[in-house]
Amino acid sequence: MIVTYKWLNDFIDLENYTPKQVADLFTSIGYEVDEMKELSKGMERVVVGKIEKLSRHPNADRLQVCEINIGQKKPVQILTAATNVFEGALVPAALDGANLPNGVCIKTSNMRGLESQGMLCSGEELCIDNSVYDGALVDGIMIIKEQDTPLGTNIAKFLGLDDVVYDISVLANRPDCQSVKGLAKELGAALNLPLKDATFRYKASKVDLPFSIDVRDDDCPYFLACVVKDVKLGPSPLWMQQRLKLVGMRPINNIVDITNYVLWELGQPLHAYDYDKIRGQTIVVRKAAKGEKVLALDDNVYELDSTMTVIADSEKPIGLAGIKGGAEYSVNDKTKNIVLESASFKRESIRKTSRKLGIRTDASARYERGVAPISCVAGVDRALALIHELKVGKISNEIVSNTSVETRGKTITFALDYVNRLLGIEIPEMEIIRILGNLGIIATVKGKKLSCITPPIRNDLDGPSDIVEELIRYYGFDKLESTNMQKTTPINGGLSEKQELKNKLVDLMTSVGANEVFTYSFTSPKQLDKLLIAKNSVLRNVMQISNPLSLDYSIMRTTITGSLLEVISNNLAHKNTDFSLFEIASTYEMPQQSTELPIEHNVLSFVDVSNDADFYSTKSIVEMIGQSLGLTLSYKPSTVSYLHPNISADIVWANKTIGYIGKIHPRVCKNFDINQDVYCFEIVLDSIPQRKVKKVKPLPKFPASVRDMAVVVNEETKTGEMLNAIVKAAGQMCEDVELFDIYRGTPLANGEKSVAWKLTFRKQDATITQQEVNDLFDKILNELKVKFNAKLR
Amino acid sequence: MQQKIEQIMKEAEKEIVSANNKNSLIQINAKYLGKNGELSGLMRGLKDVSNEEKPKLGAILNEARDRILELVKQKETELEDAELDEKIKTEKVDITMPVKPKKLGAIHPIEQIQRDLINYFVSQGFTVMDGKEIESDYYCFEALNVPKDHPARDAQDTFYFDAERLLRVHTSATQIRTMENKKPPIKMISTGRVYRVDEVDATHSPMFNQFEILVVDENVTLSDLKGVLENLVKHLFGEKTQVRLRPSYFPFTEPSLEADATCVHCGGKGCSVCKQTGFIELLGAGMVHPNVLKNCGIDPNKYVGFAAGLGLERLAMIKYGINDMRDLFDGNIKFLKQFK
Repeated sequence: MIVTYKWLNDFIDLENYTPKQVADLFTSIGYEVDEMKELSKGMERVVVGKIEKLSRHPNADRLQVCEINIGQKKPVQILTAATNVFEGALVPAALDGANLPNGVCIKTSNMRGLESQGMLCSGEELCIDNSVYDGALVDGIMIIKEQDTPLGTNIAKFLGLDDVVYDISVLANRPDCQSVKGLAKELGAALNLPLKDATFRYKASKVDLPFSIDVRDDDCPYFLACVVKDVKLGPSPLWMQQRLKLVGMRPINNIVDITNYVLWELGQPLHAYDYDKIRGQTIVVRKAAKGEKVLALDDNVYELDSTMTVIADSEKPIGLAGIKGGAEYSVNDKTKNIVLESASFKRESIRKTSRKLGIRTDASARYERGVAPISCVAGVDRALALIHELKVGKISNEIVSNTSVETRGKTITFALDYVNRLLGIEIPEMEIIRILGNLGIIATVKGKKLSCITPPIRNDLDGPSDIVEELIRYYGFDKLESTNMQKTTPINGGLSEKQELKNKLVDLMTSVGANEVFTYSFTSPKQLDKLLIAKNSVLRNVMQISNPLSLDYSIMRTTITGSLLEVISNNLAHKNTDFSLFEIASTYEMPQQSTELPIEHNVLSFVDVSNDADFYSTKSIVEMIGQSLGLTLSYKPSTVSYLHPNISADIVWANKTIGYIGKIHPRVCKNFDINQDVYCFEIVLDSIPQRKVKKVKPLPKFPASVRDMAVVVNEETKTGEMLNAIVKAAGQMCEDVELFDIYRGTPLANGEKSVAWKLTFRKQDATITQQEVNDLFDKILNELKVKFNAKLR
Repeated sequence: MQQKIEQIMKEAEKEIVSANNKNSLIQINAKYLGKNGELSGLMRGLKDVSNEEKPKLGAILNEARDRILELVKQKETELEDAELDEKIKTEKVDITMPVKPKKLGAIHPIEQIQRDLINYFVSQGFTVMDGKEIESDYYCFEALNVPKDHPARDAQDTFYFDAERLLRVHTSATQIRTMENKKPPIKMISTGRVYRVDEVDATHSPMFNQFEILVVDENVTLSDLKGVLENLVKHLFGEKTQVRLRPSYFPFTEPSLEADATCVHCGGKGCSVCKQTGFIELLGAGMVHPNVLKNCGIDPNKYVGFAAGLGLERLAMIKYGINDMRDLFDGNIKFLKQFK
């Protein structure tokens, strides 16, 4: 919301406050000032002067000597190189000491033997264009057309730029402050200043133009209209045009400008229709018929549906309620009589229609936030007063409306003690009454109760906490104490299981050299193709965003590996190599029922493009995680589409597949523009139980006996299966089995490998004997012989 | 015989002292104490000695044997020490040699900030609660007192799956889930991803991370909130940092406020980081709206509460001087590695 210092001053006397103080005050009461522009900055020493005499410079062909009357006894002499100046012209004259808006400093100087006591300015030098002053961008000095301008007038004042413009963020719950008056009222409350008297007066009479309204739509709680006869269309006065321009609106004609002026000043949208175009002399507020069309002021034809409210005459829509008027019914040169509309529409209705049709206007923006019926009355009064003041037409003494306006506010009564209870500080009773009174809230204290009657325009005030907010807003947050929950119940805090697990895994993953990334939870359906995911795969059962930013961010991911491959690809493109990444985040599984929320799996995903990465190094990280979480993991062949079919496995825990590990399928690498081997794993952490505290085993009392066993087996023999066989055969007395070497080559035959195991045997209750060790050794060897056709090497 | 023993001992001592390697010690040992050693010979000769002299000579012989053993042992230790010293002299490293460090991964800056905040609040009795990212309209809006026609519900701000299901726009949804399941006193924090319809640019992202704080108890006030926020800001940016509270509006808190911290770069004097204002916007907060408590089955006449929510990307950007929010999600290794 843009307001100006002077416009605010129409409603409240700000004389004793600088523009900066006003800005700070706005911020302190919740109206953040996004920008403050002092428009006259740099124009302090630029005045309107008249060129009384013009002569050539005796020593310089290109310079002219101007004798300028600046309304003082003595004229000033200014030299200029511009050629568009002439005797009698009014021009902006920058005097000695001026510091122009474009940064140029003006000093009296000697130019080829003659003194120049300033500079004549172009529009460019004043940093203004034709929108501020028609003719500002002329080549040469800006010529002021208004010959009756008093000489010596400050140029900023002449241009209407002797003002300060604030761009203010108005909070969503305060539609009443989307106006100059609304903001002035808030300032007044903060400064303890009353609003200036602003009663709008006008003369009305019988105008002899029949007119009626018929409101049939509940989305229009209040509709008010008035006829103005014999309008004299023309430009609005300069002061009005200048103000409209300062707040960013284009002056059009006196009628439209008045409606815009009132919109800005009071926040009430108004619309003027050409009375003589309205068939049946009646305005109907109704829902559009499906397929009904309207040609709007922006020259677009909009096709409507039956949820949209229209303003119609006896036949057709003449405007989109609260959004835009119809082109054929707008005020133009030929207009003789007008109907002025001031109405209130429901927020959601305007919002929906505006979104559906894709039109947003100053009016719709205000209706979306809420326009109270009572504001319609003030709006039409103000507009009619301006019409009267500017002698635009004859005002009808009949203002028609569909109902009467509620002028009483709500009553909110609560225990006075609640103020202290919520704030933690006492606000003196007198202060409470004063602050609320300044806001138009009539507050009375009876015993221990505070009773408040709210102004009808303040729809946001609903309960005791709303009143307390108003109190602290104006009493000041700086008056709050800083306490630290001393009066709350002491309780113990703690991490959630999920958070604890995450902390552990982040530490573990970074300790093995992986870097943590945060990637977007949504991705592109194309990624699923790049991952070679089959059309019927569950990974294609994705939650789809109905209004995504783009296709690239349109589905919720069902695996994180894809996102990490994108990150690898980006890094390789930046010549970053030899690294590994991980992310702990959610994947989203579509629920069975479309009414349920999806299952959000907690997933750890890892990818590795380190120079020394291979399947086994990746597996060792998975095993480390298994140890850390107390899980015994096993592996079985995997069918994950984006993994190498022979270098991949499903990770199994407690007979459930909880993830996968492997080399990324070379074809997938190609799809992601990755020209290196990538190893990865992904583990779903959902079902992993919190690790229980384990009681320690007593340390062994008797010595262990260690034996090595190297056996020759066929190349295809799985070492994991051998290990299982060894453990099973060895029984209780086998403490540890470790694979320590695999050998291929002479003297072994092709297709053979020697697998060497370190076996540790121990008894808990006695020293294990050589005989026992030998027996176990033979038993294990025998098992390997039977199962894998192994030969002792 | 006694003389003989003394003679042998003298010789033995001399030999042991002059021995210069372990081998000669072994030989010396054998020469005197071995099977055919000189002392062993005398030992065997004891049987020919008279019974009177036997105990005395026996004792002398034993003493001599022990003495030799001891001397040998002593010399052995001496020789070992000398040997070790010699070896140590030859073992050298170049301590300035550049090496490739063991790989250490970096924890993402957002994670680091999350952890820091979690530790800070857990130590003050707060419990971490997990939330859902895909939420229902009820938890994300309705229960939080966000009216049906509130602009936040618009498809221009919120990603929807259908009329009911959406990507949460704030972690405040977790407040509701917490209060539904847990009765006061409540001190909870929650952190995670939230989503808003924003194009990706240097200061916007359709996905970002929030941190939520909620306290509900019989005696908790806006002054408590002020104190908690002031301490938090000092924890984050240092003791000298000041907090400015500004009135604001959120449907789920009343009174609502926004907290600004004095700019960490200029200390409040005004610079390009704070756009000359001296302050940096940090978070939104307020007293829990009575309707929100009511929606969760908590009696607003008995309990009050405060809540606050802060954006972690913004915090990370201020703390680490990150200029472009995209850096946080791009995963460029050169960026990430700086957070080791």
